[in-house]
Amino acid sequence: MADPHLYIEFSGGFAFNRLEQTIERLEPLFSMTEPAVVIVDLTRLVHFSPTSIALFVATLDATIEAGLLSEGSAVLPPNSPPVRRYLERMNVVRELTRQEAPEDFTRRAPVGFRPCEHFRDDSDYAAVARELTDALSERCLVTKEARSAIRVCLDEICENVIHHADTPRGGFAAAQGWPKKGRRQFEIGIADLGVGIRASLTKNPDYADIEDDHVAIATALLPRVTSTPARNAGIGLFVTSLLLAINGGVMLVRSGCGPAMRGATTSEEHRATYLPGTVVAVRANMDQPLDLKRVYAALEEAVEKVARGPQPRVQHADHPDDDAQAR
Amino acid sequence: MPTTQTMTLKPADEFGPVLAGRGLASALREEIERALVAGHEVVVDLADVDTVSPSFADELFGKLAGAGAGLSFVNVPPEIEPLVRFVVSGRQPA
Repeated sequence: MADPHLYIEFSGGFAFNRLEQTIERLEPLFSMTEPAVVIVDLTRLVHFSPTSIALFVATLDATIEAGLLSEGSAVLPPNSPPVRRYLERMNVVRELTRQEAPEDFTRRAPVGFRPCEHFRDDSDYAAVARELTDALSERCLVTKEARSAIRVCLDEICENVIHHADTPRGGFAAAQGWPKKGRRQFEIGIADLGVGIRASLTKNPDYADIEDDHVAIATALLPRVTSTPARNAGIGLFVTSLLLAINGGVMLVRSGCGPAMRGATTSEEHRATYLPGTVVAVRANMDQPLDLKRVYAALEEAVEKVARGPQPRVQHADHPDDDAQAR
Repeated sequence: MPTTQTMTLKPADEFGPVLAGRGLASALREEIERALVAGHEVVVDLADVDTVSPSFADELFGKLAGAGAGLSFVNVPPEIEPLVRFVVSGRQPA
């Protein structure tokens, strides 16, 4: 009997605030259990944010490794030459076909550009964090303080994948900066198809009773919360959120049915589409401070404030507004 | 009379001004612990360090907080002192 066919289309733009649409498009791959002929149609793709790229590549990688792509499966490249070249530079071609992309365009990659990178252990992620920090620093001409902060955030988020995702495939990281005067920003996206935050966190007996993904994420974002207190301190994501609160940027954490935003925006919602694994996305403003010194100085007070505040709870949104969430 | 050797480590020379990653800190910590077990004194010189990540701080300062008088940290950047206090207090018994 012939394998079933699965057609997935990415049409239009998939920016930072449309990550949920990326997840919805990929959902059929998350739930695959039998091989199928999979056609991923990118012909009408206009834009893929770094975060969407990281998740897209992580998902296809997991699907390929699981042997679920039958002969005849294909990714149809974008019709737009700039979009096609961008995806090739981002290593999407290499990761999906397990072949090196044509050499000529990699030599012409612009300053400050790095492809989406795969990391599977401590030395991998450390190298990826350094590379992406260098790329963003080149592209956005950041201060020394901002460069240090970016490096620390990348390191902490990538390390969480290696220590908590519990998958041999590790994670994927991508970053891009927009140096245009007046709205200089960068985005970092890190994705894994591991066990997810709730499954990881509930390994700690202190949090074994958590049943909701959104409560798990909100709890994981608190200081000194970790599934492995003997090994980890549980403050990496909390420090990142404090950094972004000062900066006016945001961090989005998505796992299971839960997304949570921290930084300039604080929100937690329920989403219908289940995401196995975890995505952490950061969007920051290069024209505002990224000041670790200030964050560390205020750390004790920030933790006390959290302890005095309300505990994580669930907010259900009937009709989530992605644009409003991202603002 | 046996003499005590002093081992000095200067992480910035080898790893640069930003010390990040639990793996890196763990390797340093293990080197320090071996030296202390061997009866040496250890000085960790943080000159030329701009900052450290929370994981690095926890692994090095937090987990070595009870190492004893044979270990000392010098030239600790003032910027990271609050973080060091924070991770050390996090490793104290409740």
